Amino acid sequence: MFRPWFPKASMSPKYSKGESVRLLGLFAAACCLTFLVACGSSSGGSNTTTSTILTVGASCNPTAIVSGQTSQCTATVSGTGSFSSVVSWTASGGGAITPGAGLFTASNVPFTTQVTITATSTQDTTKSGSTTITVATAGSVTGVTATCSPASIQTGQLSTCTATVQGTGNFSPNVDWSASGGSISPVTGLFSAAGAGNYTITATSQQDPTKNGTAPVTVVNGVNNQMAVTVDAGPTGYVNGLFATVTVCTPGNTNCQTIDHVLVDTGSIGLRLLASGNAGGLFDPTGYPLQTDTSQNPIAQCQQFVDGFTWGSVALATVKMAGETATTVPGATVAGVPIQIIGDSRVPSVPSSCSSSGPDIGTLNAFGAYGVLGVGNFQQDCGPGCVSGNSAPNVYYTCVSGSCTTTFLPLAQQVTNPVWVLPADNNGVVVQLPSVPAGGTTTVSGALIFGIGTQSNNSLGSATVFDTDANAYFNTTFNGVNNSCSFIDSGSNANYFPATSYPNLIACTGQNSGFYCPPTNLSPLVLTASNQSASNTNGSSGTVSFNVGNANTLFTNNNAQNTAFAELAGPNPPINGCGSFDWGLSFFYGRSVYTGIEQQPVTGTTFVGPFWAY
Amino acid sequence: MNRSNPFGFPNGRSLRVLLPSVVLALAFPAWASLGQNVTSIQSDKVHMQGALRSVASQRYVKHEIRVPTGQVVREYVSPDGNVFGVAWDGPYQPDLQQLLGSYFEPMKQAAAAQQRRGRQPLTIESSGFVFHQSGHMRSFRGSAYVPAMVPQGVDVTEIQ
Repeated sequence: MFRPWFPKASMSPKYSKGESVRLLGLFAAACCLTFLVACGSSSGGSNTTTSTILTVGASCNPTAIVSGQTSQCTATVSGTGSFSSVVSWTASGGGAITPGAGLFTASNVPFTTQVTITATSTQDTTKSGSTTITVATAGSVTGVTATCSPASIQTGQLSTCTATVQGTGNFSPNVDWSASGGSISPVTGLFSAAGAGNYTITATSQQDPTKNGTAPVTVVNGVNNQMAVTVDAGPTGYVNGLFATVTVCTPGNTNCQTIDHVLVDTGSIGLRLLASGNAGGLFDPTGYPLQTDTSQNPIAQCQQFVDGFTWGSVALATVKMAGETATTVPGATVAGVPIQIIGDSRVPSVPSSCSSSGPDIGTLNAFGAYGVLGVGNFQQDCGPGCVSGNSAPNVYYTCVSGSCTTTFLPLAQQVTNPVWVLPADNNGVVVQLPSVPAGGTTTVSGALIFGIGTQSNNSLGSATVFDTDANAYFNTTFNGVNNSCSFIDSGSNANYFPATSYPNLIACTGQNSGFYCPPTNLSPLVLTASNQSASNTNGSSGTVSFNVGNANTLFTNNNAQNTAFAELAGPNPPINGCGSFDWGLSFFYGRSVYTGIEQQPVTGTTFVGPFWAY
Repeated sequence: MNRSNPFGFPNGRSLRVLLPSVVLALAFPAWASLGQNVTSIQSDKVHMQGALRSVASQRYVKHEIRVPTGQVVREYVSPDGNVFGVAWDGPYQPDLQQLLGSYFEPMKQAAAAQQRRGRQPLTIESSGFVFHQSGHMRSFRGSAYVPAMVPQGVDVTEIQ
């Protein structure tokens, strides 16, 4: 952050000048010896040529310095015959100059002073030349103040410390950083600590080390921000399904339930749980207050997914994930995080404007999980489009007298990303999964980590950050074609992308027509694609190598016991001129994949969501 | 014009006759459905309060309707006046029942009959009807067409 300017900046030119001047001095001495020998001959009475000095010139570099700094002066002597180039140096004040070498050192002047430097020929002291050096007063440092923000962090988080140096005149603003514990960058002032405690951060003036300023930073132990996730068959026979166990409580934590096999989905927003009963879920909605509109009518929701809709209530709950607890939404007037309870019998049945949007997937057999934990790039599931406009979309409904009609709903009442409303670790998630062997494997264990750059286990490290556009899309180029509606989505069970006539990349027939089935003797196809951040964003790019196996073969390998496949992929035709490469769970194996939430910064970096990184 | 009917309906033609009256009775915002004749498009546009733009190519006319809630629907109409393909994108799904017409219920049945291997883009591929929808929350995109009605020389990838 601060670059030292004093004294190094003036050192290097001074030394290089010094070398040439020393050589000049030796040459002058040799001349002088020659001259003295000649003089000796002269005293012997021989008729020799006389030598005269014509002019002496002087120059110094630099010509403007600060008290305490130096300037190297050189003389140019002209004359006739075997004249001597040797001069002696004097200064009019404001410092001292070495009489032989011409090195001027400025003294501590009380105000800016013009110093006259004079070179006088030693052969003919009536011949001299002069130049001037401007000597400025040295500034002095009078004090240093330091501040660190935030002043309270969790272990592994960063606090950014800044210093202000006060002084007079030409003083240096540079400081060196130190800390009573933990670690701080001496230059940038970024502080972090692995252990809890109270730390003192000190900024010390580089110019005057007796002046310093301090700031306190309190470090507390971070909550456990990491929960176990697994890939397994789930309740109904899933492939590439990433599942977590979530604890849900009535607001106030009085009555809690733990629901397993909730799909971890970075492509959707909000927690949705299948109600017990007809929907086939595990979750009992009893006691969970319904979200209501301004007339206290209950709010229901038709949530659309690419494969169908889920209908149910919007209810309020406390959500617990690992050591993290989400209890409320900023701006909300009631306690609780809005979630969807799919198949909640407390709201009327599906209205036609919802059922006309596609298949109903609000049952265990269709959903394949007991719920979905949507932890994608947005803060709310619908966002501004459901707050106001010409007509309310078929997403939120207000229910009166047994029938539900579409309604607008404020952001604070919409089903929300439960990560965004955590008290800390709330700017995104990291999904970490190990690699899986070719052909797949039966189960995989990994981690869902909350926060990005907030604790020691979720720093970006060397990951490349890809900014997305407002729709959470970026660019993926495959087979020479750019797909600008591409995305990364743990809730897609494979990589889905347009084949663009790539040889042997052909869809399966029959039951698996949603997947690719390259010829078995050529499987897996070894492919590459290139990801680029969305246009007009941070310009990152990177190449991805991936394999595509024959889905019919993958699903029957190992007596059809495998559930995790890195080689699973399927077709995805472009729409409206916009190709879409959907990097599904196949992509996540062997990686840490970061999903940054909109408007949420990563401390200590310039990155702000929405983004992906890996 | 006996087309194969992959969805077990006895007669595709009778469905096409029956469904529009059902739709109008339910007062859906309406536009021409997949497989239907295009004569209703102008009145449908008014009904939807959408902006209509039509682009003619050599082999078909593409009608694009923008719905106030942000969806864009495209209908591909053959020279004989039938909607042989539809495509859509936007922050919410369009009224697929209206858009797919007589193919909506069979589409749902085909989706339900698929072996579920998890959440994924919905692909239905049969000789009589092709459907695909992908995207993610806040941005959906899909297309559907009737292979037997696609005019000669039209590449189905143009239906997007």
